[in-house]
Amino acid sequence: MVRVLRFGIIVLALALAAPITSDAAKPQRIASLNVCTDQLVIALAERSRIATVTFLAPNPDTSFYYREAKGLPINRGAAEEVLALKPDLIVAGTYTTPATTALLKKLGHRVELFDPDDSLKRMRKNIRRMALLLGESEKAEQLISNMDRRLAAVVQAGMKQQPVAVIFRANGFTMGKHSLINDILTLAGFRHLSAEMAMDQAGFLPLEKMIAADPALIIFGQYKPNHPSIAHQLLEHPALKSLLASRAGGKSRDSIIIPSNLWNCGGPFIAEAVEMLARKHKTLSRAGVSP
Amino acid sequence: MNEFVVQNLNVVFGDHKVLDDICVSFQTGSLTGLIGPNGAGKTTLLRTLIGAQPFDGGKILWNGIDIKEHDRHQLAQNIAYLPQGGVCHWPLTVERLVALGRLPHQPPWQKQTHEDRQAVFNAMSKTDVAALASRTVTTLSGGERMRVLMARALATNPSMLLADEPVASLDPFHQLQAMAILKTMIRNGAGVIVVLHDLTLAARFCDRLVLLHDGRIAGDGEPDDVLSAENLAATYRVEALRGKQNGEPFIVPWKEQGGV
Amino acid sequence: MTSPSIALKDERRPVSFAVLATALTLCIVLLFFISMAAGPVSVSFLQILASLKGEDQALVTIIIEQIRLPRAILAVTVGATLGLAGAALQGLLRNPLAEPGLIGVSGCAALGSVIMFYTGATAVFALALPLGGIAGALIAVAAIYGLAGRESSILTLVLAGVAVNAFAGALTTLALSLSPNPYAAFEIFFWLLGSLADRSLTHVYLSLPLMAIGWILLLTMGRALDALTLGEDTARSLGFNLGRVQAQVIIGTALAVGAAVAVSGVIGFVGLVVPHLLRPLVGYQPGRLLPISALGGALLTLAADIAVRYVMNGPELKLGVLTALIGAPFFLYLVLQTRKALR
Repeated sequence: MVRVLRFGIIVLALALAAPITSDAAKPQRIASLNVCTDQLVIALAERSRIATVTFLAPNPDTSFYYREAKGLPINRGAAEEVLALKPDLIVAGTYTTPATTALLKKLGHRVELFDPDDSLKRMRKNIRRMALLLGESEKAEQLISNMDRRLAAVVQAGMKQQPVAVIFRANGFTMGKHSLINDILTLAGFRHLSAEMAMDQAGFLPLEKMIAADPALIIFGQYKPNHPSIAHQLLEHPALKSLLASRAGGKSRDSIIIPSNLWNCGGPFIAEAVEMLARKHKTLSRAGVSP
Repeated sequence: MNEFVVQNLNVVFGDHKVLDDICVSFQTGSLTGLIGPNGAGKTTLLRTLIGAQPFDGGKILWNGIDIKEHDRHQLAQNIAYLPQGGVCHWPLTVERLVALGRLPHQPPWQKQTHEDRQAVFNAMSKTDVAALASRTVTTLSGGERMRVLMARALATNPSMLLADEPVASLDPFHQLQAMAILKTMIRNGAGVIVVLHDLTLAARFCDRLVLLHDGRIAGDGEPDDVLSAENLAATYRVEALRGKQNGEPFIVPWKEQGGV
Repeated sequence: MTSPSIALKDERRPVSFAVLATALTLCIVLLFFISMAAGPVSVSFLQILASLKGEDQALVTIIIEQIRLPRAILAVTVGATLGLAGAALQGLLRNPLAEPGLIGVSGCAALGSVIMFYTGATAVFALALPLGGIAGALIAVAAIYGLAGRESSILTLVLAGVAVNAFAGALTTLALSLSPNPYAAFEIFFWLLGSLADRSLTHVYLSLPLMAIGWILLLTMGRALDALTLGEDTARSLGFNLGRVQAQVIIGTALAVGAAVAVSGVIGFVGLVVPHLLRPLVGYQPGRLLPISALGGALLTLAADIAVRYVMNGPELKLGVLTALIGAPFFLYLVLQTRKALR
C-alpha cells in the first residue's frame, strides 16, 4: 500500500515538477521562518544553499538538528531580516506570523507555507513536498525509507498488550488525538489517553482526571530543576509520584522523558522517539501490565 | 499611703524644654490640682508619671522605687490615667468600655469575676452612667462620654488617679458631680492629680494646687496661696474677681493683662 | 450593693461568643467535606470518609489524600490566617481599612517567595519558600508601620499601602521576567491573584508550622488590642508594654501571612471583609474579634475555593479574582461610609 502511494506521488510530483523547477536551478538561497521547516531544510539541502533558519534551530529543546544549525544565519521571523538576505525561496508554517508572510508575498517573493505535522501522514507529505521544492526528492525518499525500516522493526518486535500512555507537560498540558505524538505512541504499541478521552486537540488535563484514568506510562515534558516554575512543579506533584509507585490492580506504571526535539516537529528522527517508547513498552510488559 | 516622687525631671522636645528640673511629690489622701496656662507642661507631666513620656534626666519614684523598675502590671492596678480628648476607637457599649478598666486585675484568659462586675457597676453608678450601660459610646454626647471614661478609670479601683481635664466638656451639674466624685475618692484613701482650667473648681475642691509655668513650678501649696493675684498675673496673665460663699472661694478671671 | 438587673451578665452580647464560634466551626466542617468532594473527578462522600479512615482505595485515595485534602486544609489555614491578620492589624492600627493585602504585606510576601522560588533556592532548601515570604512580609509591615504609624489617618494608611503594593508588584514582575524558565512570566497571575489548585501536602507541611506560630502570637494579643481602643497612653497605663505589643503583632502577622502567601499567592480582601462583617457580632471588641475573624476567614476562603471549581467550565478561575469580585465593591462601600463620617 505504501509502495503504491509512493509511486503515485512520484508520478504526480514529476508531472507538477515541470513548472516548479522550470527555472532549471534548485533554490540557492533558502530562507526558513519556522522551526519545523528548519528541520526539513537542514535535513535535505546543502548547507551552502541555506540562507537563514530561525533562532530556535540551534536550541536543543526545540530542534533536532541543533548541532547542524550552529553557524547558520539566524532570523527572528522579521520581514526585514529575511529580505536583507535576498532569498529565492521562503518556507514557513501556516501559523507563522501571517502579516510577515503576506508582506513577503506582496513584495514578490516565493513563499511556501507548510501545515503543522499533526500526523505521520501529514509529516510524510510535508517531507516530500519540501524535497520537491528544494529539488532533493531522491534524498528525501532515502531518509523516509530509512525511517520506515526502523519503524517496521519496532512493529515487528510485536506487542501483545497496548498499555495507555499520556503526555504530561508543564501546567498539565497534553497533546490530542490529532498530533504527531499520537501516531508515534500508536506505532510504539501504546494507546493514547487523549484519544480515549476524545481529546482531539492539545489542551490542559486536570491532574485528577489523569490519575483517575490510570495511564501505564506518563511521558513527562522536559524539566530543568535549576530553572523552576510552578508550571513545572506540577510534574513533581506527590500524587503523580504515588501513582507511579502504585501497584494497584497488579499493574506497573512508569514514566519517561522523551526529548521534545524528537517530536516537536516531524522528520525522519521521529523514529528515535518510537524506538525509545518501544523499549519502554518492553519493560512495562515484563513487569506486568494489564491491557 | 502611696506616693509619687518626682526628682529633677527634664523633658525636652527638640530644642524646647517642656519640663525643667521639676521636683514635686504627690501623695494619696490628697486631691491635687495641676494648673497653669496652656503649654505649661501639665499634660506632659502627667504622661511621664504613667510612663508614656520618655524623659531626659531625673527620676520618678513610686513608693520609693523607680517606676522603670516597677512591675508594669502592679503599677497598672494602682494607678489609673484619664487622658484628654476622650478617645475611643471602636463603638463599644458603655458597659464593655468601663469593663476595660478591670484589665489590670484580670490574669490572662480569665473571664469576668463577680468582683469585676461589681467594680464596673459601682464605677458606673458613681458617675451616673448606669442607665447608659447598653448604649454605644459613639452615640453619646461629649459630656456623657467623659463620664463613661471616668467610670472606666474608677473601675480599676486605683490608689492614684491621674486625670487630664476631665470636666472640660461637662455641663455645670456634671462638673460639680465629677469633682464631688473625686473628693469621695480622697475620703476612701485614694489620691487624685487633676489638671484643671477652671480656677473656682480648683480653689473649692483641691486640697493642694501645683502651678506650672513654662515647664517650671511657680507655686505649690494651699489654693489661697497659689492663686494669689501676683501668681495669676505672672502665669495666666489675668486679673480675677474673688469672693467667698459659705466659706468657699470663687475666682472669676475678669481681665486680660494689658487689655481693656 | 447588689448587682442590678441591667446587664452585667455575659449573655447580653449581640450574639453569644460560644454560639458564634460553634456555628462558624460547624460551617467550616461542612464546607470542608464539600471541598473534598469537589473536582473534575466524581468522588462520593462515602469514598471520602473511607479514605480519611485510612482505607486504601488505590487511585481514589491518591486523589483524595494528595490533591483534595491538601487543598481543603490550605483553604482553611490560609483563610484563617488572612482573617486573623486582618483583625489584628485593624486592632493595632485602630483602622478598619488595615488588611494584609491592601497595605502591601501580602504583595511583599509574594515578592520574597518569588525570589526564593525562581532562583532555585527552594530546590536546595525547601523552607526557603515560606521563609522568603516571611522576610518580605516583615519588611512590608515594618515599612507601613513606619510610614503610616499609629494614630494615622485612613488616607495615610491607604496611600502607604498603595505605594508598597505598587513597588512590590513591579519587582515581582521583574523577578519573574528575569527567570530563565519561559513559563515564569505567566505565573504573575498565580502570585498576584492566588490559587490553591494542585497544591500538595508538601505545601501544607512547609506552611503550617510557621502559620501556627504566627497564630499563637496574634491570638494572645486580644487584651492588648482591647486596651488600645482607648488610645496608646491609656493602654500603657493599663499595664501593656506597647513596644512589645507592636512587635508581637508585626512578627505574628509576618509569620502567618508570609507563610500563607508563599504557598497560595496573594488572596486579597478576605482580611478586609471578614473582620468588618463579624465585628458587630462581637460587640466591636478587637480582642473577641480575633478568633472569630480567623474562623470567618477560613469559611470564606473555603467557600470561594469551592466556587472557583464550579463557576467556569474551562480552566479554574483564580481564587483572588473571586475574592476581589466580592471584596472590591465592599471596599468601595467602606470608602463611601468613611467619606460620610469625615464630613
